[in-house]
Amino acid sequence: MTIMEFFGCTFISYGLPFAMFLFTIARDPLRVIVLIASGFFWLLSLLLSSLLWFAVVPLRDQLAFGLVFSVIFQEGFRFLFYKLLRKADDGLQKVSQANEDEHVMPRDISNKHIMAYVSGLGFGILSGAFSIVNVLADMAGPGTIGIYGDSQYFFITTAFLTLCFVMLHTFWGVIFFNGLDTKRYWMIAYVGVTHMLVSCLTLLNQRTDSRPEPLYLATLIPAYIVMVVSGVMAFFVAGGSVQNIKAAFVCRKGRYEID
Amino acid sequence: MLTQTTTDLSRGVGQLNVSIQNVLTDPSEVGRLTKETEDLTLTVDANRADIRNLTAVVAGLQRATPDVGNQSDNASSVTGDISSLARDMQKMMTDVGSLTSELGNVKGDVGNLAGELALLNKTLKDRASQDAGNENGQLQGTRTKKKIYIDLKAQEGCYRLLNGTHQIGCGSAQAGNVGVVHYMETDEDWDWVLKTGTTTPFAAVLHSANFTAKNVRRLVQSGRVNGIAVISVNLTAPVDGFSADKSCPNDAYGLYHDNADFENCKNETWNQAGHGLVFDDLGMPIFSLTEESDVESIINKCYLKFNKPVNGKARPYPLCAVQLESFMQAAKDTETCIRRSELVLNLNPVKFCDPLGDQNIVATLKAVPYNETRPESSVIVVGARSSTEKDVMFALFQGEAFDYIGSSRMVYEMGEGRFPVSFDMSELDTLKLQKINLTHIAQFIELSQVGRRDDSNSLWMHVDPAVLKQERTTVDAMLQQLKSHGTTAGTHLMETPEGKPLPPASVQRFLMDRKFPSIVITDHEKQFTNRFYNSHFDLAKEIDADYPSDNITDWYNATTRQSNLTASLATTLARYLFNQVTGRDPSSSEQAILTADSEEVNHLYYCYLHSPHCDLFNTTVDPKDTDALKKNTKPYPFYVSIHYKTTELTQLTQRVLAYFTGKEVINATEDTCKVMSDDTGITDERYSYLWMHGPDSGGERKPMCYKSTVLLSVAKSPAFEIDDYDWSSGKYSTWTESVWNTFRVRVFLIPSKQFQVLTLTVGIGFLLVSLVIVYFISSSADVLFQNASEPPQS
Repeated sequence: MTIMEFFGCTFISYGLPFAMFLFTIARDPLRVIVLIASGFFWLLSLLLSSLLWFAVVPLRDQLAFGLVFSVIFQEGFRFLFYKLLRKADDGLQKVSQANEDEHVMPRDISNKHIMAYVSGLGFGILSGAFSIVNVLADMAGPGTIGIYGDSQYFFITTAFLTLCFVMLHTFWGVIFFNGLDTKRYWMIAYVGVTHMLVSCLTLLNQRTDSRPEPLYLATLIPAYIVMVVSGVMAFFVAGGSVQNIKAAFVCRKGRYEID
Repeated sequence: MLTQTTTDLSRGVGQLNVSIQNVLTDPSEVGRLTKETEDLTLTVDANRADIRNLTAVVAGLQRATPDVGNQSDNASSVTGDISSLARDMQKMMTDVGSLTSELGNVKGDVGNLAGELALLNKTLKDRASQDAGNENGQLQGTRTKKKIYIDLKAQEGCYRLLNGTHQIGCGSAQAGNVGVVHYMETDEDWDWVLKTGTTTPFAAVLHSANFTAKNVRRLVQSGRVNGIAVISVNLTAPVDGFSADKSCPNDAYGLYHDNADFENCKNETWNQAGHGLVFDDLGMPIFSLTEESDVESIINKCYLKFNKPVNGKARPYPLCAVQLESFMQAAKDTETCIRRSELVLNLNPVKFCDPLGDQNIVATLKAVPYNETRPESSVIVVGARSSTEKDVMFALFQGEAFDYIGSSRMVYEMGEGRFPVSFDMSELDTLKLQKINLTHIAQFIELSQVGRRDDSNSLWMHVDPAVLKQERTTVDAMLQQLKSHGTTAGTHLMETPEGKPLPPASVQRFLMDRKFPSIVITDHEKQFTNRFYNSHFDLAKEIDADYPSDNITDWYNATTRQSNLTASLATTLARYLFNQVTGRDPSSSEQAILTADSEEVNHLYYCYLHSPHCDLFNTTVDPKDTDALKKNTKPYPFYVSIHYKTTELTQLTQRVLAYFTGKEVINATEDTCKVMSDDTGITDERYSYLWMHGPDSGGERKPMCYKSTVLLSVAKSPAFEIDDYDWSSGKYSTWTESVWNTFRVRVFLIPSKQFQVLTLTVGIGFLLVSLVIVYFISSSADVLFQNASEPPQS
């Protein structure tokens, strides 16, 4: 019955990440490896978060507690993954060189933003998967949510929020790595603060005794604002500019002419 | 020897129905109930005064019945062998009379079942705690499913049965049937569901009082309904009566099939309340809601909140719907299903249906060994003949509602020379019971429905016209004897006018093969007085076997109007049989012994119709099964069930019969309580030995061993034994029950089509736009990020 809702929400949350994977990751084995590795690091942070949640029995019912530490762990593991990646640069370079005597540095290594983007997407895809798969699993069946008074927009909100987080993680990855590379630590602080902010906003989705209706828009709108800001920042960090955008349209035409 | 196949008083009494709750087999339900029992809680729900809901704790009940053992000792000292014979008979009759009347249901059941939309109870899942967790909105850590669905506890539903040519009953689609909930209260509601409502398909929720064949058929035929749920919490019967069986039950498999005068109830329509609903192939699921919490969920949390039309207009989506899941594996007919089940396709053959069946219970008065000849016409003795020894055989037939499964099997076994046990004369090193064939039967007295007498308090004796013609002298003598013993015992027995056919009765299957003197005793002269034949409304209160007192602890040792009536009938039969066996009337001291105790009869009614956790069942049950019994507070179902399972009720009845007719083996232990060899080394297998929990003495029970002639005899239709049986021949019962996996009911919301389409459209739009944008960005990445090595400009 609600199979249409199921596919609708799947496409909303994973349409864009799927397109990104398809056109930017899938063709390059090195990027696939890094994507999976960063996803693994995100999983480690989840493991640590759940261990903490499990260990601190009295606070198990307090979502905010687990959430705050989870954000800290995620950023911690993002840092660890950065360290690992930089240590592995030499190895990665060797792997991606076809010949021993090839001395041209592959673009993936020379342009550090590419691996930052890939690892950010790896974080995003995994965290997105964990926030929506359990919902999707229960969505296919004949019913939709609401018999207990929950909002009927729960599914679609979950889908949009998932999309938002996948993109945020991607952007944060680029900003965070560049901040470390260039020693501009305010960028790292920006990532940590916005991550914490958006995550805490999702607490508004909860229904409590004093707040029978969840404040979905109060979560979604700020989250998307942060996403757009981070996106723009990441774009510029990675070397983009308004000029380039214009050039992209022009150039495109030109290239075809040359070809 | 007097064989009295006293059969089946069947259904008698109107009985209690007792729905089909198979609670004993259900561990989780048992667990839940146990707690109540252990706490010694008397849960008498004032709103649900019917018997099924009583949780009686009988632990403290004292057994006030006179000690039967002492009585028998006195008896034998007074009158010697004959008295003890009589005593046995009396005890047997006491029970058999009442037992059988309840057991009537055993045979009935069509009603309970499939048709009546049979309610069957499988595993009740205790989801209460989960539901509770969902109530308060604090849902962290629970699955989304818990926010979408309310799982109902309902596990009683109608299922599918098949015979040689048809399938009947209910079944859902494999994924369950979903319908918008509508509670049928007023005529407007019926109009809404059947005609005007636009949010089809519906799932109709009916109160049990509206659950009639006519209403169900209206819903099914409208094509706008996907399933039905029946509220059975306060079981209220439809005012016009309710019987899901046919108006002429079992006719096609009885004596009058193809009889020009009597076929198809030409002479008398026995079951006028019967609309044959059970024989409809409804093609949709029907569930019974017996839990208050389920009704609360589906009516208050679902229907009233989301669905109930306002000012005759449908409410906006989302609407509340219910999913009824009861997918049936078997289809078409028994032949198809058996053939499919026998296909050997792999190492795990799949079974699609099971033949109905159980065990007939048989007890003979005498244990005639195989090496003594059993004279012709010796099993039921004719009163006028006073030969020395006659045997009496008591029999309870199972599955009779399904085209006489039990009786047709017994006749078949007799014809094959295998009844009651099969043995080969050439290799006999043990003592076996002599066989009984149809020619051994001298007379047959059947107790059919006897619980709902009309105002004059009469019972009626029916005789088949052909039998009367052939055996007039004998039958007349039998009738007179019964009447005169009835008069002294307080039972008013009347003859039906000559030339009337028998009502539906097991003896019909015997008379089809051989005509011998036979009488069917019922509470009705013409049509059934029981308006709830074979239905779940056939309850104790319908036969005055319920109790006026609110104090449950008084119930077990009370007497009711019904127990008095049944005791009087048992007394009549005991004295009649005494006369038939000995050739003389009992003396006054013997009459005193040959008097059934009304309170003991009430014990049986209590155990069968109110709570199986009663002293009598606890005394006779196998010590291993006491825990299972303790956890059971609802009466056991009388449904015959599938053949390889001997139902709890059959097992308990066998034990009770052994307890009343057998003898305790002194100083036996559990290990020695079995067939033993005598001094000459010959094993005597004529008797069965049962290890029982023992009577309650000060809270302790001392197990005991009982030796009796009670035995079980397979009650599975011969159709399943005969090679290449022609399934459409109509000779034997061909009923099978479909296999199913889940019975599940859950309530949830469904969104409008528009909302769903919108969600899907947005999703697809996102996907397409993303593909285009990312392709563009990716292909022009070189240009977009050409200053990568330089510091960002922001």
